[in-house]
Amino acid sequence: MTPPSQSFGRRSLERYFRLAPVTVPLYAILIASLVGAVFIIGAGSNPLTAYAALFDGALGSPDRIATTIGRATPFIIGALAVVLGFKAGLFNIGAEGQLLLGALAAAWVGTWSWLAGLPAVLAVPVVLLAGTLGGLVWGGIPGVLKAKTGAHEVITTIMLNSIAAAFASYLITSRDPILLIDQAASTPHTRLVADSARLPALVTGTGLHLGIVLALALCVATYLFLKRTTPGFEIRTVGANKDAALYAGMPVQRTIIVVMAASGALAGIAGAAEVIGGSSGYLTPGAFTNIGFDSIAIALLARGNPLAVVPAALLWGALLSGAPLMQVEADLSVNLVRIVQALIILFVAADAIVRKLFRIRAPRGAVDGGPATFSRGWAG
Amino acid sequence: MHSTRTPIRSRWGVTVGLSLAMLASACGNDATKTAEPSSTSSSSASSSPSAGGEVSAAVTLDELCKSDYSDVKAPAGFTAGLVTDVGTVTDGSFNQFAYEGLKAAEKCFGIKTDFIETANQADYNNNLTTILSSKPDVVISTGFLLADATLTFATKNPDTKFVGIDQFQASYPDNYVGILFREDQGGYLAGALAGLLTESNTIGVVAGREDVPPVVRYVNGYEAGAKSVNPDIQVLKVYNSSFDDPAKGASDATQMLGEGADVIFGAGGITGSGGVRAAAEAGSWAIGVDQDQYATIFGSGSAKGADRIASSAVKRVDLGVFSQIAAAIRGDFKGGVFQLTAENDGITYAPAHDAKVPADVSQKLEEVRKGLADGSIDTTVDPITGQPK
Repeated sequence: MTPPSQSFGRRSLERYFRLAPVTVPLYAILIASLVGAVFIIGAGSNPLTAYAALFDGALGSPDRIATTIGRATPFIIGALAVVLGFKAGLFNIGAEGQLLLGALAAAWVGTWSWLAGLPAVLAVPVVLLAGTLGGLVWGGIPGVLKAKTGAHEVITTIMLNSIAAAFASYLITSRDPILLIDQAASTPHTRLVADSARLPALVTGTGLHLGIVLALALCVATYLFLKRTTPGFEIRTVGANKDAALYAGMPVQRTIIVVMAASGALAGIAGAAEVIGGSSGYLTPGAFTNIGFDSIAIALLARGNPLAVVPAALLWGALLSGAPLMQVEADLSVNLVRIVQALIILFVAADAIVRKLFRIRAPRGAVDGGPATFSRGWAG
Repeated sequence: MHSTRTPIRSRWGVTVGLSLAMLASACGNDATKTAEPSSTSSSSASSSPSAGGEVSAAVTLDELCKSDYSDVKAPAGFTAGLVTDVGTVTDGSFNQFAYEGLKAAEKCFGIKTDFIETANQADYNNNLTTILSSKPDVVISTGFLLADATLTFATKNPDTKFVGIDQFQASYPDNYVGILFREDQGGYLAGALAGLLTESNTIGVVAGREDVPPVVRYVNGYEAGAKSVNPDIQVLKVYNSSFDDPAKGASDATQMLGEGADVIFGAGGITGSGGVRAAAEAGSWAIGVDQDQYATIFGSGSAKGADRIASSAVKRVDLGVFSQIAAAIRGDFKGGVFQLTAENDGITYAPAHDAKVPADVSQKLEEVRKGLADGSIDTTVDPITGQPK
């Protein structure tokens, strides 16, 4: 690839370019930690103690590692949903609401009495399918609106998030009429799903459940789909240049609808898997707050790569599950931890800063294998 | 570090979902209440009126430390850990109030303390696991949403005492106390004050969610209290769909003022605080809720309208935490419901501070509080459902 005549400097730049998807996030984490350290010192604590506690809390024992992975699971699937939208040039802000609709569908279907009689290998897929459908409908609506009327998906999905949150809260908490609420419970939540419909825990008491396997499989499947199939190629082409795709005779409108619906379906699976795989087996209003929004950040952190969402989500999960020990040992406010998290995303999203600081060349605008085509402008 | 703690906002994070089936058992559990602050605390407080002519029955934890709890000293290494609900220990809500109770216990009893602030409901389990990793003697969790997680952990850790603020259970293990409050008495105090202050004979309340029983207890207590001093009074009530919409609360209050109301009680977290602030800024009377909102909304006098907040209906989350830690140290901790009421100083009202509340009104309000405390006044509101009896 690199002709021998080229200088060493040129070659190392080439290497940087090829490594950029890995090095940029790593450098971003480094810078974020340093800037975060300034905040921690400003708050009167020792950043080394704080980061050591964060690390210990996230990875310090087998149980803690399991907690981190369990915490990351919904983010893997949620971020994958956002990444899929990115690939078609769609900015799906609606993962939050789609995830909730998936969770609601799973929490409802999971309580159907005939499910209790089924073996788990049948009952679990039924409930996951319900969650998929819930998310699919909620993601398909903005897809249709975008394709048929040009309504921007950012606006429609934000509004659908609000509707989903209020709708979920109503379905779960309403006592007159009784809808999904478990009347015997001391806090408002849905009735327990059938035992046969539960995803088994992998490490008891840590929140790590079989959903992680599903999440990893979905990442690989999405990656292969986008890379190896004709529809996958069409999606990437629509994302790279809609006009060119249209000129090439690709079904642009249909692609937009299908991608939004599929993105919503993935988010719906994330919600469903948490309902039947978490420690509870029911849905509480507010329990999934911000999973969809954080998934957008993770999708950016993963630079729109369906496989890179796994390490990105694991990092996110580690930051979340290590945070309490950091608070206890370094006597820090939870807000400091959130500042460090936000700093990482800030530096990754604004990657020009990192590239400038570390002299990493900007990637060429390749469709294939290149970084994500992020959302297009308002006119897109 | 939380050395500079400026309460920014208050929140009505208190919500106890009860089904009818459990109401009966709630009453039954009353008998198991434990470690009630002794009656001497209320008499000592009222016999020594605070400086500056402020009328308040609120006894500080510092005072209690020197009186009722002077003999409580923790064994070396005794540790208490706090897990907040979503929010922080400086957010001006019950999270902060619980934290203050914890810190007062640290100072008074010589215990070690830890705390974890919850960023998201999904972190409840991990936060409880983490706080338990340092093997504390007592774990406090604030907020009814933590009820399920706290019950699970209490069952799994029988050697640790658990204290849950606003956490109602059908039955408690021996190592788990749920602290509940008589908000109807707090509302009754606010209503009596409003009924005495009003000149237009119309008062209002900006409330939180109607499906949350403590809110209903506040609102119906308010109406009953107002009618007790002023039978012809008109009470305007608005419930809201959320606890965190100050703009809606402010517009509710403004509408009520337009309808002729001249006193507004805010009983709905930040939504209610928006109403309290709007009413006070417009020059009408305002009454706060849960803690002394003169401090949390009006910056202890620095904000506009600080001279118009006549009082706040206070529920002493700090006292609940403090007294339960003391019970754990003394060894008389008993699982079940611990109810804070006007009788045990858990429900009271805040001083008038800068507000020029007429002396006869203050005097009458204190009489109402004493009446609630000694049982001669009944709020006529069901202390569980909040519905008028």
